Formats: sequence, structure tokens, C-alpha cells
Amino acid sequence: MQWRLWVCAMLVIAAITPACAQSGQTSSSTLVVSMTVQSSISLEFVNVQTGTGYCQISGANTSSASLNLGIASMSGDNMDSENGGCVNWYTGNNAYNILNYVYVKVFEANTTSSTYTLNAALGSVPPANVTWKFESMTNNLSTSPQPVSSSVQYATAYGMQLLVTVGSTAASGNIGESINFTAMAN
Amino acid sequence: MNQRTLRFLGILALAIAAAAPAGAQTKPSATGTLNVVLENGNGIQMVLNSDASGVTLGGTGTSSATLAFGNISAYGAAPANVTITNQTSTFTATTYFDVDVQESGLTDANNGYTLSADVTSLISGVTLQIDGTTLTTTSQNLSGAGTYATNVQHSISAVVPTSGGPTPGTQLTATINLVATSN
Repeated sequence: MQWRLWVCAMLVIAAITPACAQSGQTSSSTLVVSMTVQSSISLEFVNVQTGTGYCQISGANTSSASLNLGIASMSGDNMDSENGGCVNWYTGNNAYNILNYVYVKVFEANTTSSTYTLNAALGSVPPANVTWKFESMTNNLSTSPQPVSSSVQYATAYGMQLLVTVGSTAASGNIGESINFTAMAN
Repeated sequence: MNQRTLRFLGILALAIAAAAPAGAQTKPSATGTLNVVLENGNGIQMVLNSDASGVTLGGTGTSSATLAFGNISAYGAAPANVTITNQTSTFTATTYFDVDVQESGLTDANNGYTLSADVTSLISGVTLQIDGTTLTTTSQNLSGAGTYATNVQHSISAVVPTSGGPTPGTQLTATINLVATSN
């Protein structure tokens, strides 16, 4: 009887051997991955506060936002209905002034700097008797970049009070501008 | 010579005369049979290919390829066919490559293959992932049932910290070892 068991065992081994031999085949390859990490910063406009002097931007948290200051005039008539009452407005010296805060937030990655310099420039020359500036600036905004601040902390909302002065002799109509901001790592 | 001998000689002469023309026309020939022994052995072969959605591999179509992410940054423009996503304190650069494993002689090819990978040396501060699996210096299983003879897309990602990570402007390199094993 024992020899029959041996024969059966050998037959079983013979039957499964080819199947076993086919599994476990391997093939290898190598993939050399390379990359170069670069320093980078990003700028976005944010809304921080509400109320008078804090008109809300649309396109918040992006680098391309818009701000509607509505219709303003020397008399200030109907301003609340035109701009939601968010604009801070006053007159003086044959002009009226619009004040509104604008906030930017700049993020850094893989830099060694802790602060950045912020410059701003108008997209086009404003009409006669209309000036634009941020109150922290010495000079009015122009189509050439002007320093807004030379040392701003990253990742914090930086507020700038925009001041638009419209002289009494300025022509009526659209006086809107594009303001181009540039943040540079220090 | 007796009559018997004469008859024998006559028959012999006739036989020679009959055989002679045939002998002159037959050319020698030989035949042989070659028994060829060939066995279709079981084996697999892996190559790496560029993926349509990924960066172009150097050495595509071979088992020794290179993949260059190029210049990557959290906020700058991403290289072609590289996607950048930002997290709280890291950014991730992702692209794709294909693995094509061919087989021969496997009776159980339908079972597919298992793909695993390890990295020869880690890039300090940078985490490499394939299909979301973080690579280490020990082998990690990536997929358990790859299909033979087709390009299988795999994502490869580099997770880079935005501070305290690698020195900006320095090229970083890692070698990933991929192993396909028949199931």
C-alpha cells in the first residue's frame, strides 16, 4: 500500500510543478526622477473688513479682482444708493476724495526672505485733475511702479487705504483705473 | 563451355545491358531530418513609456528611463504636463508615466502582474509617491493585478515642503526601482 501512496504523491508533484514554475517571473526597470525646486511667491486680493471705507472686492482670493466704488460726486448725492454706502467720502480744496481700503496677501514658498516689497502702478494715465495714491505712499500713483511698502510680512493681509482725489474741474464720466501690484521677495 | 554456362552468360549480359542505362541517369541523393527543440519559456519584460498626459521620458520604451519634472514651484508656472497643487505647508508636483509589461509562455497570464517599487536613495525633505503610495527604500506594492501587453498609466508625485525643504535652484535626483512580478 505504501508504494501506491508514493506513486500518488509523485504524480501530484509532477502535475503542479509546471504551474509553479510559471508564477513569480520578474522584470525590473529603473526610473531616474529629477526636479529643481524654485522659490516662488503669490499675491491675492482679500476682503478683511466691512463697513464704510471697506468696499468689498469681487474675485477675492485671486490675483485678479475688481472693486466697484460706484458713482461719486462733489455733492455726494445718492452715494449710498450707488455704492452701497461703503465708500468713505469727503470734500475739500475744490475736490472730493474717495477713501477705501484694499487688502493683499502674499504667500511665499521655498524662499529665504521673510518680507516682500510691494509696488503699484496705474494701468493708464488718469484724466486731468484726478489723482490716485495709497496713503502710505509719498507720490501719487502713475503708470510707473511706485513703492507702496518696502517690508511687508508674508501670509498676512496687508491693508492699503486708496485715496482718489477728483478736482472740481475733472470731466464727468468713467475715471476708473486698473492698478497693477507687484510683490518682490526681499 | 557447356550450354548451361552459355545461357548464364547470356542472361548476365542482358541484365547488364538493361541495368547500364538506368545507372547512368540516377543521381545520388540523401535525406535527413532535423528535429528542432524549442520551448516557449515563461518570462516577462517591463518597459517604461511616456504617457500622453505626462512629461516625455528619456529612454522611453526601455527599462531604464528618466523623468524630469523640470523647475517646480508652489506659485510659479507649472512645467508642461506637470500639475501643481498647494497644501498648507507643502506643494505637490504630479505627472504620469506608463508601464508596459509583456509576457511569454505564461499559462496564467490572465492573473496579471504585481508592480512594486522602492527608491534607491531618498531626497531629503521631498516625498516621492507613485499612485499615491509613498516610496521608501523598501519595496512597496503599487498594484496587484496589472494587465500584460498594455500601457498602464501611473501617477508620480513629488511632495515638497514650502519651507525648510530642499535648497531652491538645486537639482534633485532619485532612482526608483520598479519590479513587476507575475501572479
